[in-house]
Order: sequence, then C-alpha cells, then structure tokens
Amino acid sequence: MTPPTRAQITAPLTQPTYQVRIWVSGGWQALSVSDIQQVDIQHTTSDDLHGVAFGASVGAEGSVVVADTPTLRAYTWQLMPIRVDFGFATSDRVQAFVGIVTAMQRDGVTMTWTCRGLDELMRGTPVYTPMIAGHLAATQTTVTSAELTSGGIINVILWTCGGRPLEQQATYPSAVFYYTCHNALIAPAWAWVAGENAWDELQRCCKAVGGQIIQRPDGVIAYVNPLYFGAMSGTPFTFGGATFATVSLQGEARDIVASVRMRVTIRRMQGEQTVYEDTTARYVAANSTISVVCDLPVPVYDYVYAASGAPTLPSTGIVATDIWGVRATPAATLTQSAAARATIHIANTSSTPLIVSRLALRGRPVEAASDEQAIIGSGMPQLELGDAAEALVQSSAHAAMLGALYTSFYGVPRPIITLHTCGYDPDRIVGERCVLHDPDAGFTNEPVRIVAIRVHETGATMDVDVVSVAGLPTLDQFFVVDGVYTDTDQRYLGY
Amino acid sequence: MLLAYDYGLTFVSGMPLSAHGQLNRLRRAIGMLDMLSMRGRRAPTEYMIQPIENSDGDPTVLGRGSFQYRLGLTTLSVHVGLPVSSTIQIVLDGVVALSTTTSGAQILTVSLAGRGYGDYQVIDCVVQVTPHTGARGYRLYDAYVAPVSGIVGAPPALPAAMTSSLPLSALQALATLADWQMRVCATVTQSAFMGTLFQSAMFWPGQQLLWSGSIAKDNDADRLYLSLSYRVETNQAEQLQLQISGVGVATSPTWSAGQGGNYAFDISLAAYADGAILDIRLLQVVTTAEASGVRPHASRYSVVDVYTYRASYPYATPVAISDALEVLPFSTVRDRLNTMRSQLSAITTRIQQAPDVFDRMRLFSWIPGSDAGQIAYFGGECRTMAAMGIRAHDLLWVKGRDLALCYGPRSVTANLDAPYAITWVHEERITSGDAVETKLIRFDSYAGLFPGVPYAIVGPDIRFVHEGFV
Repeated sequence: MTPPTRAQITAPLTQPTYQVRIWVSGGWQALSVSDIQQVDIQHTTSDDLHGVAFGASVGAEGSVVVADTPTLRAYTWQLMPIRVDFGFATSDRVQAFVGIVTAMQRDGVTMTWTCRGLDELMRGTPVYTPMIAGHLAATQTTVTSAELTSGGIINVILWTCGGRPLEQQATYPSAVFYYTCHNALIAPAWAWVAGENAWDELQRCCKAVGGQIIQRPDGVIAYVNPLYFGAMSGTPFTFGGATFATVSLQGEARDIVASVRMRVTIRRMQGEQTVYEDTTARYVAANSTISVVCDLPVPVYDYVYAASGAPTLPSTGIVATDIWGVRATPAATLTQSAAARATIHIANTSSTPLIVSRLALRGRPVEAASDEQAIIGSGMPQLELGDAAEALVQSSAHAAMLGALYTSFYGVPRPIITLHTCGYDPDRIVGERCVLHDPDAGFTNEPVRIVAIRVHETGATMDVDVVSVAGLPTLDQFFVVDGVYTDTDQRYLGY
Repeated sequence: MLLAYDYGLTFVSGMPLSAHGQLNRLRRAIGMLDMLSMRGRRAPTEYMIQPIENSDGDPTVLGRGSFQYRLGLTTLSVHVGLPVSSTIQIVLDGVVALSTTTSGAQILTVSLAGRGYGDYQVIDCVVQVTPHTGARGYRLYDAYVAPVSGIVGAPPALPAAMTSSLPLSALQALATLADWQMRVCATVTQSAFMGTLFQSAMFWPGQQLLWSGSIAKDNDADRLYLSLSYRVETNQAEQLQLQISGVGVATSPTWSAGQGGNYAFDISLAAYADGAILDIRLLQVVTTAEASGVRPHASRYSVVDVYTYRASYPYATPVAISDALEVLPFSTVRDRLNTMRSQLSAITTRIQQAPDVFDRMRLFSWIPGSDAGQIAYFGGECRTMAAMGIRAHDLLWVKGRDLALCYGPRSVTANLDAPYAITWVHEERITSGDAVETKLIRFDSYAGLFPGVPYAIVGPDIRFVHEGFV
C-alpha cells in the first residue's frame, strides 16, 4: 500500500488503523492490535495562550492504553522508546508520534503508558558546549552544514543531545533523533551551555532570539524562524466548516506586549590567563590513569594547549612528583574542552605511583563586563524576559532587535482557536500555515497556523489549535541579503 | 561603560537586512571610527635632560621606557641627538640589542625578530651612552615600535558600490573593513603621560627647564595643547615660556606670589612640516624673586598632558537611523549603505595617510634616573612624577613596583620645604611588595572610574602604563 491519499483521508467514512511500536531488545517491536485499547497524542508549539509565543515550552505528549498482560507488564517501561503510527484501512500507516514512556499506571485490566516526546530525553541531558562567538543562534541545516564548527548554539545543543541534521540522515542513519533548523534572526555575541538541561536551554534560546522549537509527528525536532510563522508554500489547506464539529477561541490580555524589559549583559573576551587552578593532591597509581573534571568559574573561549597543538596540558599546567618527590611529567590530555568544563585525563605510564599536586588551565575567559537594563517599546503591558534573555542578550543591538521582534509578534492578541473533532488527517502538522474559512463562526479566509494537534480515539479524530497569522511579517516582505531589487521596490527593513 | 564596538558583524544570504543588528550597528561603528581616526598624538616625556647633565656614569642612561610586544611588530626605532661621536647602546630586557658609534641626529633601529618575545609581553628598553665623556646636549626625541600593520594586516578591500542588489560579499566586506579600522585604533592606543605633580621650580631670577619632550604633526592634528597647573609661592613675577626647537613661541601670563591655578598652552602648529620632530621645552622664567624679608620658597608646577589635536573635526554626517519594519524603497536602503561605504573608505584613507599616528606604538617613558638614587628622588621620595591619563578604554596594562591607581577628588597640602602631600579619595594598590609585576586591570573594577575620569599611577618604579580594549 501507499501513504494515505487525500481521498482516503477526507472520505465520508474512514477506517482508521493504528500501530504502536516499542523498542525492546535492540529493535522495534509492534504491539498486537488486540492489546491496544486507546491511543491519544498531541503536538504543540507552546504552552502560552498567545499563539505565536516564542519558545519550546511543550513538544509532544501521548497516552497509550494497553491490556495489562503479563507480557506487556514484563517490559521495562521507564524511558522505553515508543512510536505511534496512524493510517487507514486502504493505506499505509504514517508515523504520528515519537517519544518515550515516562509514567505507567495499571489496574489489572489496563495499563496506561504516559509518553512524552524527545523533549523529555533532552530535559535529562546536561549539556556542555564550547563557546560560540557571533553565530546566529540557529543556523540552517543542510547536507553539508558543519554543525559543531559553524552551527549556532541551538544546533550544537541538539547535536550534543545525540541529534543529527535531518538533511544528513544518509550520513548518520542511526542517530538518536534528527533535527532541522532555519537560520535564526539574531546572533548572540557569546553563547554556551554549562550543564543546564538541554530542553530548557533551547527554550531560553528561542525566547532570546525569537522562534520556536517543535517536534514534528515524524520525530524530527525543528527550529522555526518566526518569519516563517505566517509564511505559506503552495496551496494552503483550508479548514472549512465541514472539517470540524465546533470551534472555540480563548486568549488572555496578559499575553499582549507593548514593551519589553530585559537585562543586557555585555561580555568581553579577556586576555590569556589562568582560568582554573587546583592544588588538591591526587594519587595516580603506577600504570594507571585518572580523570579530573574541572568546572570553571568563568567560561572560556579557548584553552592554551601544549606547543604541539594537541589538546594536552602544557608542562607548566601540571606539577607531579613520584612518591619520593622527584619531578615527573605524566601526559595530561584534555578529553573535554567545553566553555565551562574541562576534563583532564592524567596517564601515569611509569611503574611507580605519582602524586599530582597542582593542575592549572590557561585560556581566554569571557567575562561579564557590564550589566544594564533595556526597555524596548513603550506603554503597558510590559514583558519581563528574565533569565530567558539574561544569558544571551549581550548588546544594545540585540536588545533592540529582540524588543522589536516581541512587540511586532506579541503586539496584538493572537488567541488560540480550537477546531474540535476534526477527522484525523495525517497531512496536518504543527507549524503548518493553513486557512480557516467558516463565515458562520466569524472566520473568512483567515490565514492561520497550526499550533497544536491532539489526536483522539486511536487515530479517528483530532482537535486542532490554530492561531491567526494575519499581519505577521514574513520573509518575503523584507529586503534580504543577496536580493536583487529595482530602485522603487518597497520592502521592510529587518529587526 | 564599555567600548560600544562589537566585532564580527555578519550577514547571511537570504536573511533580512537588519535595521538594529546590521545597519545601525555599522552606522554607530562608523561614527566611532570617524572620531578615532581623527586623533592626534601624545608627546612622550624626555626626562633625561636634567639627570644626564648631572651624571657622568658609565654607561649613562639617555632614556628608559617600555613597549608591549605584539606579534607582527618588527622594529624598534629610537630617535636620538648626539652632540659628539658616541657609542650608544639599546638594551632590551637587559640584553644589549644594539651598540653603535655615531653622532648627530640619528634614527637607530633594532630588529625585534627572533628575540623570543611573546604577544603582549612588556619589554624594558634602556638607551644609554657608554662611556659618557661629559659632553652635554644629548637628546632622546622619540622611540616607537612598528609597524602596526604587521599586527593588523593590510586594510581589506573596499567593495564596489551597490547598485541593484545587496550582495553578501559587499556587505560582509564593509563589516570586515570596519573591524580592521577598529583593530588599528584599538592597537595604537596611547601610553599614559609621564607627568609631574607639583614639582619644585626656581625661587631665584633666571630660567629653568620644567619639561621637555618632542612631538610631530600628523593626521591634520595641527594644534599643540600643553596643560599644567601651577602655584607661585614667593616669587613676585614669573611666567612660563614654551619653546619649539629652541624658539619661544608662547608665554603664559605673569604670575605673582600666592597665585595658582590651571593653565594651558594651546598653539597652532600649522607652520611646521608634517612629520618633522618638534623639540618642545617648557621653561620657567623668574624675573623677580621674593620680596624683601620673605623667606623664599619654590614655585610648583604640574605638567599634566601634552598632545596634538585638530583645530576642527570634519565628522561625516551619519546616515539616517534605521528602524525595524521600516518600509523603504530600495534606492534609500542602497544609498544608506553606499554612504557608509564612502565613509569607511575615507577613514581607511585617513589611517593610511597618518603612519606616525596609526603605524607606530610609542614607548612609555619611565620615571627618569640613571641610578637608584635618582629614581628614588623622582619616583619615590618626592612622588613628583606619575603616569597620568584620562580613562578612554576598558583596560589598563601596568608594569612596575609598588604601584597604586589614584583617581577621584584629590587634596593637595603645600609643604613649602618638601614635596606637596597629595592624597586621592580613591587610592587602590595594584601591585605590592618589591617585585616588578605586570598586571592587566579593568577600569570597571573600580567604582567611579568612569570613562573620561582622570587617573594617575603612582609608585617608585613605574615601567609601563598603557590603556587598551578588551
């Protein structure tokens, strides 16, 4: 069979099919259909009531109710990878959810697996990155994009969590997950992550440069530039009155922003200096190795290595003696050189124990040099960006760009419009630009963007949250770099 | 309070041309670069005149100073005037780097290649005559390391003017050119001025040298500014005379006993050739000493700074400020960019045509003295000399022994028979003990030391004081 066609999807009477697969013993195993009692999944782009809020607050969630059988009960459910596929009797099924099981409840008859998307994996992943200087916060992923050397902080976080660019799937066929990124609009002066959970960092990044992180039904994590929120490609799908049962709308005044307040922390790279010093005595047994994790008080742009250029400590960086006090020079290799953490691997290849009495790392630290408050826009309500901005907003230009971005995207209410009980449509994905046309409900060819999809009844129906994107700026309205224009062409200047 | 220049402005193909992040940032950078590129020069102090007149040591020191080595510098140049054929030596960090016998006005050069200096290392330099035969009239006019172009490279190419597109290469080239200009300006920051703090002058009729140094006119900076403060204790009539190359060019008003205050010579150098070394001397001329029956006391002078500047600053008119989501015709956007391109071009030309200002880094002059006794006299016991500056940057490199950073309001107590007692509200130790230390300090670490605030580095052995950018 083939993937579902529009005719199959929009038929008056559909015959939904479903499949749940779990990762067991190194492979995907499909559950027996008879064991599956109920599957509900949802994908959202934000937990804010403002429809185009920046961030990565919510990814994907689901709940799978199965029979409480001895076989299923025997599986180690904690963090068990799980996939859900939906389709129709006359078509193949398509992947609708990718995640892990985060909670289990059973009552002797049924067992409910509560699932979350890949955000849950990233929440549990502390990330240390190198210092990234002046890159766009997210950079366009391509077949050849060099993520770790020229990627933005969002790319580096996703890569460090085990993701690989979707465009490089052929090169990395067994990645933990795939991701795809647009270019972001803003390049923070300095960006790094120092052990924070990756998902929270992604959210902060989005709030500090604009944009959203979403998880698509196929499990791909995507960073979406806000200028694509209202952008349309091809003929958009129209939600007409016949495609849903009822419609409701909710918004909150607090989600409107007239001005933005944020801390601007200007950072500067300092000259080469000792960035870490540790005089703890460490014993290294003969013919053995130890690893020392060094958490730096101030992140560094780079480290000073030995003259060879290899990531080894210069001889001045380590003081070691044998147990008789005779100076020794064990090899000390930096196995991790993140901005805020270095791991030194000390190898004693001699036949006598060594005592390491001093370790010192030299490098160029990036220090906060000035701290001020910026208020962009005027009037109330005023949004305080808090720690979302604190780490990444490091120049008045960044503050001005971000403030203008917030006021133009949050300047008018964009309440959530919920289309209840739509027929399940695997072609609809969060982030998609569509049209809502239901004059009876007050919507006439309203340009909308899907911000959440909640699939119920094991792939039979779904509720869809959309938000109006009327008036949102889109990329084609701007003068762009490398664009060709005539003198009278009128466009926006960017943020 | 940091320098508002951010390197590394980048453009990305297919992305919107940003108002705040790109156009305004470049506009602001150009405004700053325009100002910085019109700078003049500070005069190095030549202190050895008096010490050498009173010293016949072997060797006898003509001058001592320090420079900060940067990768790319190749040559140390020392301008000397030798009254008789003499063997002159240039000693770098205790090693004789040049020893030559010559006479007259000379520019001595020493290659810095292969000396093993590290980037940012402060190198001590001593210029000395050996043996000193007792001749008078040795001069040390100027000392600098060059070329700065070896550090920052040649200027990047100016892109073609934009016509019907916004080429990534052209936009990025503008940003790269601005970065190069800023690197030049940030690299050739000037050393602090080794000035005097209420040094003793004469209390008998006659004239005496108060200060000597030299400077050259360059970069259209055709005015000389020499600022000082004075206090006449008992002389009934005295004035200052400013000489250039031995010719009196200006005099102060005549001051009498009890008068004191600030004064500045502000004269035109338009008549002098660009690049010619101008020998500047400041003399105290006492015409009438104390009144009968009054116990005589020395007048006191502080020479605070000596520099050249422009009579007028023809700043380029900035392009209009851009706004996010501003709707414009392409011709306006293109014209803004092309105007900024022209302004960057003019700045590059200005930098390249003023090598004395932008291609040379002058040595910081030490407290004078050929021996420990003289050093102690000028630097310690009297605390007559201090490195003085007005904060214009983020950082301060210092090298020396037992140094303090002083700023804020100061009180001066006149001790008529001894050095004036000077105390600052803020006097922060930056080195301690007897060891000579090199330190990098951040101005922002000191409350109240904002940009534009004067400061002084005091101590018995000040070897290097140089502002810089982070």
